[in-house]
Amino acid sequence: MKYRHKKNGELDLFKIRMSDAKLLRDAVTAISTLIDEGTFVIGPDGIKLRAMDPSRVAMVDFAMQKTTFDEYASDQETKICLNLGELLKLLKRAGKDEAVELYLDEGTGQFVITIRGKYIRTFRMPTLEASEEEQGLPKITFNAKVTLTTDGLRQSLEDVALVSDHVRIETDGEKLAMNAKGDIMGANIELKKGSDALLSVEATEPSKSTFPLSYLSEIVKAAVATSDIVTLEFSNDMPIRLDFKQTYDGTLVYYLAPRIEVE
Amino acid sequence: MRYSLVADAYERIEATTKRLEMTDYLVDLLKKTPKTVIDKVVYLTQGKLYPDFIGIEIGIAEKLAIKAVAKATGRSEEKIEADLKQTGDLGETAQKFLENKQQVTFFPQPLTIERVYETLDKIAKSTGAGSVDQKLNLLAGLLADAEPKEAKYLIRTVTGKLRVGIADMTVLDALAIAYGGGKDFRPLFERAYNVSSDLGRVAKTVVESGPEALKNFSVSLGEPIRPMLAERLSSPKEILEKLGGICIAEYKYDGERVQVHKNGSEVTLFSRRLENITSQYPDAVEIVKESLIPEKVIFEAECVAVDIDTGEMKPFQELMHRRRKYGIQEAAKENPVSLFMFDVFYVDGRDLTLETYPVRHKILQTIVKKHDRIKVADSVIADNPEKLEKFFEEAIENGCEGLICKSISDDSVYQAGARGWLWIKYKRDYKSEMRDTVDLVVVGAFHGRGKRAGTYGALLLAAYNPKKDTFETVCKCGSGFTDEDLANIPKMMTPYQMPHRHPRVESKLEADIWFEPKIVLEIIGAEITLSPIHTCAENILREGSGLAIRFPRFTGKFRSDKSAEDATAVDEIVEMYRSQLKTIES
Repeated sequence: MKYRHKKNGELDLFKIRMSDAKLLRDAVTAISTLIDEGTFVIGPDGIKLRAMDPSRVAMVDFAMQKTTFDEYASDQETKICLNLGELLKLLKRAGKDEAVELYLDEGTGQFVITIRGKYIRTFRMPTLEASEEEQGLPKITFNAKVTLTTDGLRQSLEDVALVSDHVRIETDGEKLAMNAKGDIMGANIELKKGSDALLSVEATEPSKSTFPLSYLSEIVKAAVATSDIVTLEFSNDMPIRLDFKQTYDGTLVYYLAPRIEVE
Repeated sequence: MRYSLVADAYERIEATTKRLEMTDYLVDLLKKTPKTVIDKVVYLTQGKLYPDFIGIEIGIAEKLAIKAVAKATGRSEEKIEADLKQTGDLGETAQKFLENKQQVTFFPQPLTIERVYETLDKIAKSTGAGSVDQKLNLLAGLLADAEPKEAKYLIRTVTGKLRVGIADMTVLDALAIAYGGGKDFRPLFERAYNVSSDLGRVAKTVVESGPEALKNFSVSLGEPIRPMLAERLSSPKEILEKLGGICIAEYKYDGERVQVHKNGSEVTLFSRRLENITSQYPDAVEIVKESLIPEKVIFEAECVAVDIDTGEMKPFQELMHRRRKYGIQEAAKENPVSLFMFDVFYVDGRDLTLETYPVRHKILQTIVKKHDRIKVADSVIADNPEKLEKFFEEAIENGCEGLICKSISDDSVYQAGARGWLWIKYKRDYKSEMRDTVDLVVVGAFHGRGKRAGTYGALLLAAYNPKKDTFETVCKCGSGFTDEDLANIPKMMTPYQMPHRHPRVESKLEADIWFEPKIVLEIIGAEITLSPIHTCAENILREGSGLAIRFPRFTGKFRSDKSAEDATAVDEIVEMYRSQLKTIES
């Protein structure tokens, strides 16, 4: 690809082009619900980001394979730490069917975003100091696995949010139940096998855990644009894993730590 | 280093009422602290991240701190607020809720000093859109990993209520014991602190290079030195006795004490508490740039609100309009300031703090060009109580708080950070507030300057003494006149103009223009005060002194219904003075 060449003949670290900026924008929206600054690892196979929210209650594990892009060239791994709020503002400037190109200006250390549509816009933003530490993922044995529509999950959470700020998610292998108890009100939601929203449910033993809606609702709201189907995995009083199936070749997974129920 | 060590020390220090024990606990903590973070630990013990003059504060509102506790513990804000009502201390509430944490976190990591400091630093520096959320997340992140006890002190630190009671002098003691060979070496530490105002740097220097290195601390541009403070006495006689019979007495202006650092065209102003207040006084910055002769200079001055047209000083309250974050330029226009210089401790690389005051005072006269809005504080050399008292009355009448009497002895160095008998302030014990207006006769005028060039800058006003049938001056008044008044008054007065003082007018002041006593104006003032300048009721209350009206103002009313002899009588002013005389609370 000719545009990878800098004036002095060396190769740029990476150069990426996506013909529809929406995919990237939605992905960044989903990530930025948890973190303000994020380190993208841009490698030969694609882009990855794994991060924990500052309160250490939730994690996001994101990957977009190079096949998702229209052009993708990166011989080595480059870490780029960006302010996601600022990045999102710039990506939002791309209209429907407008292409976006990304590269790093090594001279200035700036991340360069070019939007090509009716006219060409080039934005530059500073890169921040990336942390060297690689974020590990929690090792958990899950006893339950439930697949449902993302929209079904979103609606259920909206329902329970009316009465409480946390929700107990439980399954016996037959149905998925979401229970919320507020000071004066309560809500019970049941998704049974065979219902439109519930696609599959299995559990090696009955499992239940409680989660803060301030996180769970925000995660689902942020991810709903990228995904129609979500798989939940959980156990008793353990973190939950939410795997939002992406329309492209990639992953968007969240982990959320449970609340301890004090009866 | 674990933050819990610091929290443990706070807890012990807070529990004791004995200063020595307090110091011992602090010594323990400082000994356990690695060299690399000792400055950070020292700042944190003061509830700070930097020395004050850097101007970076953590500043988290209680509301936001409550949200962070809620987020980190998984409890509702309402529950936290309810508990806060009981404890009255969000730190204690946070501790309690952390003990019953309902929210699990991933990979908890014990808090280190480095992480606490870096995170608080990020919180302090976060600005702009989204900064509130960012601050919240950062603080919640710390709390999520904090032990309950750590949470208590973290919350108190970020909300500015650490209140452990570790004074800067306790830190100096502890540093001297831990790293400086004992408490006897404290003066070395103290001097380094007084010229740098930076406890963290003192600590870092001593652990890295030993106490000897503290001797290299000297006055430097950009770092405020801790101000010298004055003792107080209330009689001129006592003051002179303390100062060896002679002193330089200076006006104690009623404004804000500022320490000015000028480095070429860069001017920085520090408050008495050593906060950077440069942005509040853009006019003062310009004045300094225009008038100071040396390239590099550090001096102290009083910043006083003035009436540009008349040059008169305004009451302290007017200056308070300048304490703001927005509309600074407008405020500078509405309430302009002048600077009155009263000490200097650095000129072009030369540290003057160890020079005597007469030397510094002489240098002070040579470093400033003639300028309308900056000058060296008015002063006299006083060697008898009468002279001191006269100068004091003059100072009060001119809108000052009193006098600062400074030693001129061989040891009259600048004692940074210390309150001592080298400087003695002389303030009033009584004042007589003025409640009613008075009607005064115009007997003279002074030429105006600036905006008032061509008209009068101020009028000389007098009360009537029926016993002697004389008019005795009581104030110079330049305030309260509208532009229209200023245009009309000369026309009104010209018919009464005289080539010399009217024989019935008693005045010690020499007016630029004299009038026949005819026109009567209504005047209100802040106080009535003893005066060596005005002749009203002279020698009645005190030998050699008359009465004057402080901060006089024209009410806008021309008393054309009154003849000069109907003006307020001298006896009435004496009565007003006596009836309102009250002790000043201080």
